[in-house]
Amino acid sequence: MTERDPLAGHIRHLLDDATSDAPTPPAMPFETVVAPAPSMHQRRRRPWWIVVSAAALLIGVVAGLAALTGRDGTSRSNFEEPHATATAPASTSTWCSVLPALTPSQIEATIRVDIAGAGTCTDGFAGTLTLINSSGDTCTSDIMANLAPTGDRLWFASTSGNGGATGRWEPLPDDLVEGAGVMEYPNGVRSWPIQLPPLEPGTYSLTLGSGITCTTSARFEATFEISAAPDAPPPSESCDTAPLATGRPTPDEATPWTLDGCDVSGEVLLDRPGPAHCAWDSARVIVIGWPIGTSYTSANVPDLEYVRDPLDVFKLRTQYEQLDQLPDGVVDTGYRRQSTELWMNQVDPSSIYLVDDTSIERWPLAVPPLCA
Amino acid sequence: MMVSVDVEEAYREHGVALVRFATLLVGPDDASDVVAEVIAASLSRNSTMLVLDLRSYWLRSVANTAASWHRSNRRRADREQRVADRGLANELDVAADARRLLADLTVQQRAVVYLTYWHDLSPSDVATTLGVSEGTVRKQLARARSHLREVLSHDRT
Repeated sequence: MTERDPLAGHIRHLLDDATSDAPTPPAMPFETVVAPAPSMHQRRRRPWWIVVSAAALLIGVVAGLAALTGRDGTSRSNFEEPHATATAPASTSTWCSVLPALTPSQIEATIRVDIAGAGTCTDGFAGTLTLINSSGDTCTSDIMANLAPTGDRLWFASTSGNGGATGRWEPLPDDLVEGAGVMEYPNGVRSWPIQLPPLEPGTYSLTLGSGITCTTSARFEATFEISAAPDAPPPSESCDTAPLATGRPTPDEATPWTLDGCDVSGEVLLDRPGPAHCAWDSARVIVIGWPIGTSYTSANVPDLEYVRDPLDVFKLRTQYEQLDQLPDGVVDTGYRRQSTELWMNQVDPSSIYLVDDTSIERWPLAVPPLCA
Repeated sequence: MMVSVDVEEAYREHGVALVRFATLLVGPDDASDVVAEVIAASLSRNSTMLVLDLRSYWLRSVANTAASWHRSNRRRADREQRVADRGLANELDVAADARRLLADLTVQQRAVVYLTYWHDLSPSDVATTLGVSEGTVRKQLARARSHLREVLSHDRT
């Protein structure tokens, strides 16, 4: 609200008073909970250190309650720094990159690019491109890139932080801007959401420039693809007119999942067969928001679709498969469907893993994405 | 590659904000419990490793936990007992008076108001943080403003 809004000032004053006796935060035994991802040998049960941590946490809560001090005099300025300045910790890491593909629109890219937002099958893609410097401890804060549709170059340069654009870069187009929400994390990890204009289906190349001053390579390059719709099923009137004809199931066929014993909203984790009227019910689709736990129906939350499609009715590029063991880096999300556990990689959501006592199934991200 | 968000550092940075937010939603007696529950839950299910924006994630979790907190009869009984034990002194407290003016707002409305006016988030950002639609945020904010305009005018007279 603007300062010309007198009510806003009164509300802020009211909020200040209402929270002025907030207690101090409870003490947390973090040193016992920040731990590496469980190995494949730990996949059946929640790791012991979490159990230990939970117990230690309860002790911390008691200590925190005992430390209540009443009014703490905290000023509003404490809340006006949503992103702290990174303090570069000592590290031997000398390279930077961005994270792996996080949405269905990212296909077979070899560099790490997070394209958030759902593309449509036929109308191209418009969404948020997030470049994440995932080991920013030795980085300066600059990142540049250009995005080039095949045959028709489209440039952008994000010049946040030090450095700025060099002469090699074209001016930033009006419709391609760095979005709000540049994030900086305490360990120096930073991310830059950048709004993409509508892009037609096609192959694009993305080049990160040498503005990432911590890189040892001059530049990173990758391609990603805005896909056309998957092959349509055999024409049928009912399928052609079905609102969810390309695959996402309707909400009345849900299989419930739970988290810590509570039912999970279908807007957080949707688990459905394919539409029966198109004879696609042999396939099964799980839809989640990313990060998992967020509602995929929310604005700015990418919805990710994973498919088990034994009869290949969706004609996707990658099929589900049975595994003998879970790959490294995969952790238990806590989501359960009866005896089935849902596991994922912490930063690479290209697959989910459904684990029970007798099997491990890897369900790939739907590529090309299914249409809502 | 793995994003290694330093949870301890993040909590050190945002803990005060989380407790303050929780204080607005459930009061100072339960704020620490709510925050501790949120942190414990997020750690126990490894979700801190899956979330890039821990601050927003925790703020949302505090709002969700606060909503369920209000639905817990047992906790409510405990809370009322604690208030009774303390007597009426707090009713004279500035903070208690301010919270009384906010008491008729729903938990979601209080969360929207707080994130809008204290954290200066846009309706879009509030929607993202709380996991609701932007339309919901605007509607709840409008209702909350209407209510607060009324109670604040009475309070000043």
